[in-house]
Amino acid sequence: MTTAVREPRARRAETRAGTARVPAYVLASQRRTRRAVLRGEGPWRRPDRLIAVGGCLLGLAGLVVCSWAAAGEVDLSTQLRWLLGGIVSVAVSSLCLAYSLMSGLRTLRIEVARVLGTVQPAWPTTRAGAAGSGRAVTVTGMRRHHHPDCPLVAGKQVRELTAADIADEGLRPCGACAS
Amino acid sequence: MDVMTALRTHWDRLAAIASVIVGLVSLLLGYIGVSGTEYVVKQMPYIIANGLFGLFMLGLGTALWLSADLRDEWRELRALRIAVNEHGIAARTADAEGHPTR
Repeated sequence: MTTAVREPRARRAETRAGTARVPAYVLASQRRTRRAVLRGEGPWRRPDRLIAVGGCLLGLAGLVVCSWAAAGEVDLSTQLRWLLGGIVSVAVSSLCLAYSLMSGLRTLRIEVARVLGTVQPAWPTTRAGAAGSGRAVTVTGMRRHHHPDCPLVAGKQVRELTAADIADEGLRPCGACAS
Repeated sequence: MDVMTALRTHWDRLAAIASVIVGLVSLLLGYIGVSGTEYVVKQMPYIIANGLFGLFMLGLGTALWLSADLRDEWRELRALRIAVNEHGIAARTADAEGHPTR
């Protein structure tokens, strides 16, 4: 279970103690209501929802048809065909559900990128800060630059980089140390 | 949060748990049905109706639970972005007016 479920209790305790200063619009945005869920608030677009619900209904209908048809058969080979149909129905619905989950995850990553895009300009020690102060390093063959203390370059033959080097070589920042 | 409020707001997780329970019960009934007959032709409807339906419900329950988690994460991130944006606007306004933000 995620932090969204656990947080309100802690927040109430902080509010009682007089330490929390969470604006009302943030609390309203975090609040989980049945109407919000039913209204479709979430990381899914309308086509994603249609694919998930449609796939489930299609799989369920296929299962009902295959089950009903197989129950009326006495020939094993014919029953095996209906069994195959049932397996295909379950596979279709599973694929649709998996697609829906992946789509939600993708939207979540976009949201993370938006948050980081808002936060990082106000955080000069990341990215350009480390590279600009000459504290970025890389290893020959790597396509990312790292902080000297990054565990990914620990014990390796590193070379110092300047901001110009990073731009020239087209190096991307390390995802672990955010150099 | 009392129990009824939790049930109302977390209905998707409740549906996920119900789906998993239905799936497990269906598998159990299928097992009982299959073990009760010796003929494969009579076992096959149990495999399709109970076995595959049970797997379908287990998958549906898992997807519902994961989607509830994703929705919670998305709500937290959105609230964070709103808070950061508002704080940034407030800080810029305070800077323009020459006041510290805190």
